[in-house]
Amino acid sequence: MVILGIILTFIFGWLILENLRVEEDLFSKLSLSYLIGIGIQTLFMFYMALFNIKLTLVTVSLMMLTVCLGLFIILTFREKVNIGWKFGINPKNYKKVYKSLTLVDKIIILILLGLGMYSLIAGLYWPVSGWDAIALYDFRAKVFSVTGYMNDAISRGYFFGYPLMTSMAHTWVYLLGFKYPQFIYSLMYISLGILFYSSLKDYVDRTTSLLFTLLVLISPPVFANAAFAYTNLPYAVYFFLGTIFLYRWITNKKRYLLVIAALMMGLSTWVRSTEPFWIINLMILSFFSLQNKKIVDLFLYALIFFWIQQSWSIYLSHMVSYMGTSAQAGQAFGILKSGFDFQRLGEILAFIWTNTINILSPYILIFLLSIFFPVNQAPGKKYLCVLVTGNMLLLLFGAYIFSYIFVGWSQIGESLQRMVITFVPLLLYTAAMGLNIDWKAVIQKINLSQFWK
Amino acid sequence: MKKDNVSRLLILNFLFFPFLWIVTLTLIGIESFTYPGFVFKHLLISINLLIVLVMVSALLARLTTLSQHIPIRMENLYKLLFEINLLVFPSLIVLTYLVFRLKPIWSNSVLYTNKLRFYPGTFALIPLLSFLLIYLQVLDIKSFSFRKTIPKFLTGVLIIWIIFFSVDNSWKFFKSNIKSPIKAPFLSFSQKMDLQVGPIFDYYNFINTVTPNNALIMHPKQQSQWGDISNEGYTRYFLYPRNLISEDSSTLDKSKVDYVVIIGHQKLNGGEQNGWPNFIVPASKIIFYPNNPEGKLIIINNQKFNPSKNPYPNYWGIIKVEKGVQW
Repeated sequence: MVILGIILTFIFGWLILENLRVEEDLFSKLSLSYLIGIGIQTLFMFYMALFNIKLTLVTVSLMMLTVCLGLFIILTFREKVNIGWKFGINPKNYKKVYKSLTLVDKIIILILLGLGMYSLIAGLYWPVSGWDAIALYDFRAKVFSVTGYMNDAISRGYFFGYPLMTSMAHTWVYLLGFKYPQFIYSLMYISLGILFYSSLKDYVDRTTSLLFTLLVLISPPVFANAAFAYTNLPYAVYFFLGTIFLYRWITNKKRYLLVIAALMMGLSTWVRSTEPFWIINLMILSFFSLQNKKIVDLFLYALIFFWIQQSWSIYLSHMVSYMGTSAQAGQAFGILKSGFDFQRLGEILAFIWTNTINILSPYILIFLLSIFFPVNQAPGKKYLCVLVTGNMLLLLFGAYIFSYIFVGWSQIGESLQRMVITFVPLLLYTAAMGLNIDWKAVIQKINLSQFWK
Repeated sequence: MKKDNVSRLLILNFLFFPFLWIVTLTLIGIESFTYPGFVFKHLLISINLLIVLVMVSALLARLTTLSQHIPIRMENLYKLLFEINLLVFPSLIVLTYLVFRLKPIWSNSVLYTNKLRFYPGTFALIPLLSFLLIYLQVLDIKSFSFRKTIPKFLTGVLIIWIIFFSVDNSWKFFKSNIKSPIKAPFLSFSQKMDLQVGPIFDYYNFINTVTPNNALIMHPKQQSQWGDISNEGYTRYFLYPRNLISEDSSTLDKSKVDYVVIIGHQKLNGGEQNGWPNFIVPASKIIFYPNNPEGKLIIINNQKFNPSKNPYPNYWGIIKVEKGVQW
């Protein structure tokens, strides 16, 4: 049953992509189908709960089938019937690609496959046991799947801390009769690998793309969350893809890239609503759109992004004394207006440094190296650099504001350590853009018979 | 500085480098068998500084091979170092893997016996430097250019560092997550939860079997001495749909409480704990959890729970509160 349910999620995502006329390869499309499918599905499940429709296997499946049917009909009309399923599978192509792989490529691919297998095995085997997952994310899912509604979980307190994306995804798995929802995160981990590679390979050579994909997937913050029911990995995946697809749109202007960027960034706020990093992307997009007279695109992005972002925000403002985005911005402005405290900023810097330097230092160094000594100049790289640097600065700025709002700010070092997972894929992606390793020369040298000239 | 002087310095470095290399590896080896900071304490030079020096020296030596005329004896020494390094490298990798596996046993001796110290993390620097030397040879340097050669070299160093750093840090997750699926692929859900959550999971199951779904259960206020059971946010997950109330809750109405948990004076999840409740509770039934030597439930009917006269102070359990009695 669970396999059928997840296939339904994939089909849902696939139909959305088909309607968007996405031009990506098969594996990238499957990854995007899963990420967008599970994201939008959980949002719709939230709407069902809001409208007091009981969440059961039948109702959720019916909702999904109805939406899929709707998307299929739209697609059929748009494509004048006869929509061929463009999976793009051509065994000859794959054979050709396999033959062109070097030894280094094959070794890296083998390790990557092993990592994917590991993540799936761990995700399918272990029950949810992470502290925060038990206290919140999976608890909500447990109550939703037992009662079918949100009320009981709300009445038991500690409900509104985070949006419901992962809880609703767990609920779907429980409704399908499966006890181990952590494979959801394994699929996200695998999707991250595939989409990181496919988004990079257009700008740098294959071996560099594969190597940096490996570096992302084995990086401790990402690997630790590869089959773990916390919100950090899903947030990092959605945020990273939201940023990368925006960058790709800036470089080649295909509209579906922008829509995916908006969907991904919106879904990142559906996973964790407190992180403000989406602001930088919106600022860069606004600047670029105004400069290049692409107002319609800006409007389209904002429409999709705010639809998802505001869904939780509006609900929260009705349920608890929650400050909306504009009120939060007003508060931040008020703090800044009352004077800038450089001593506090120093303390914040020291706090961030102590808590993140052990994890981030190699990634920051390789990022800086690629910025100051770029060997390869990918198109539009300046935008990507601004996006990454802007987000890093926002972390500092956000922490400064947060220190005035939350007295115990210096106690949340562990949360900060988990938050840095967001930056690892971005730093490595940008670093890979600036590097151009001469793999042919390296491979030639590895050939031991020619080792010593 | 004149060009001649630069050449002389490069030649000097070329001569000096193989010795610096061997000395650095030896000192790293010594430090890994003593303690971090040992070399600095006795020789007033830190290992980190030595590593940076040897890396710079290695890069300069490599560049010297391209641009300078070197006496044949010196070049032979340099070649010998590379060849030996290449031969030894695989065994260094195997050795590092083995010492990482031995870590738990060895680190115990570090802590408690003071006879043998070993730091696998420090030892791992040896294969790392060895790999660096191979990398230097592989690196395609035609001629030196600050803007090209240095970034090229540093990129390789950083990638190697990231791989080592990642494998070192991610290995523990990999091991802990994959061990059980391979060794015992068909464990039940409860057995897996036992492995993940610990013995408290069985205690939660015990409460679930002896209390009705609509019970209101009182637990101690959140304190580390009472562990997970005192954390309502955590415990509610396992006892759902039962309702929980903390002893220090502002909404506590004792007349509505159906059950009170019993925490024994025993180790659970490590560490000695104080028992709870530490006050008298009117009880219609006291059930002690079968985590006792006899391995069975002990039921005491119609007797109030008095912590000072508790016949089983080490046992966990649950009290069914006698309704209508003030407490």
